Amino acid sequence: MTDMDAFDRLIAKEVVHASAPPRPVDDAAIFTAVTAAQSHPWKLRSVFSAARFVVAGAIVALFGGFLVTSALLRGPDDGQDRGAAAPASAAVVSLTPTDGTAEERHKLIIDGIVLSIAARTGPTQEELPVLQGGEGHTTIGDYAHPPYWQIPDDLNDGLYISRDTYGSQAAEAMILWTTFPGSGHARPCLLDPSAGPSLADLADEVATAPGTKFVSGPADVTVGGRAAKHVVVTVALDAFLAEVSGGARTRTLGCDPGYFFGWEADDAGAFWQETLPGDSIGVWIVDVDGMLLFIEAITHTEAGPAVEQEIEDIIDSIRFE
Amino acid sequence: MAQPDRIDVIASAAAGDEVAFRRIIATYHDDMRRVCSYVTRDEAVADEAVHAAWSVAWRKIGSLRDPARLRPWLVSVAVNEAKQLLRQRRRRAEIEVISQASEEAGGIDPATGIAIMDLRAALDRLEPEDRALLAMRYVAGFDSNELAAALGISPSGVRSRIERIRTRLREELGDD
Repeated sequence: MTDMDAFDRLIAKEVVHASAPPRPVDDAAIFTAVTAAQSHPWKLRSVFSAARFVVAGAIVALFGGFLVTSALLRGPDDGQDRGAAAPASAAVVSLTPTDGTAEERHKLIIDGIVLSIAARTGPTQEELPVLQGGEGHTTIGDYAHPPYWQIPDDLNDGLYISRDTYGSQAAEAMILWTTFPGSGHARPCLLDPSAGPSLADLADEVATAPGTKFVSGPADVTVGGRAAKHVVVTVALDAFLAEVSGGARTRTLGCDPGYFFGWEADDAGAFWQETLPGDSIGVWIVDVDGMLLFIEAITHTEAGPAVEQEIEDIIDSIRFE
Repeated sequence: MAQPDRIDVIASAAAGDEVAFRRIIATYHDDMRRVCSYVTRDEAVADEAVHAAWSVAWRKIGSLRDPARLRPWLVSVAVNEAKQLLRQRRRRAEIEVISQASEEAGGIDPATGIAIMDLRAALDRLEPEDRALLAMRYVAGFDSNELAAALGISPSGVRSRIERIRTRLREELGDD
């Protein structure tokens, strides 16, 4: 066994050695950085104005699939085999391609429930323009493409979709789904697993879930022609208050790691690293032949009514097979 | 140069003050570039990532609530861009991984008895996320709290991840 201090020093030495050597930040470097920064179409707006449109969350755009999957794999009270029931999503029809986006219908299988949704999607992260270098300066590609929904086509990423507004580091809404109770993937962690089995019982639990502030519902609705309940809550401020004890943080909202109702990124980007006070949580609980499909749409406080409408449209587009 | 962590500098930059933004760039650009160079192992890709990060920072700096978090926030943004670029290049099979460390002769570290080349090879095999953590720790010199802020995890989580990396390296080096 080596001395850990010596081992640390050796690692540090090698990491520093393998990184680029320090280099003074000269005027040319600053000019290039400023040019890159200001080449965005929003440059004439204030940052605060732009922020209204650009919200939160490398977790979703870059790491969402991994993180959500990781969260689920470590979810509470979950001893079931997830592999056998892994959900799938696949784009099956491209309807109206326009300026890089398309209205697509996607098929998903959630714990054996087969459904499809329609959502306005766009280029994948790999297809987005990134950097186009030029002599003397670098410009950013078009980050301001029309907002669209990202629907991962990876089998294990089928548990959520997210709405991203630019590049890799922004998302402002995500929709997640599971079944209840006894999901093979996750369950709304603050709810009593013995709740129900009625739709009404579960909806009442959602409406009074700890750490949330009630907004509306439970309302009787239909989703894909099936009876459903719709409840809206927001994240309460007191749910966000962290308790620090020995470096570990405990939360009164969500699971650890959080998922339904609340989540917190294990490895996050710069924005929207966790469910925040004021974030809206819309829940639709659908009775699908006796199984309760739990759909949760989380939106950032700055997402705005247009995003909420898009979510409503997606929910309305659900068709069961 | 003094650290432009003062809220007025950040607020000025957020309001579109280019001079304030240039000051921030001058202070942190090299930290971001060096960390990204270790994550990507390619200085050109690192430069791309940092420039992309400045674009994000220009638009988002107004959302930074705690000025003390400016440095970890900027480095975090740059690292995320670096990882995205890596992902794109991996999928396009266009990247050539260049290990600068391998260009230099190794030998045995006298304090640990570890073959330097073996350690470099083990470090090269780390995932970008782990390389990012090590670079932020050792190149940027972040402490646990700054790493926690940059990564969005608790300081104890940071320590756990570093320990996990060290354990993996030691196992690969047959030093357990």
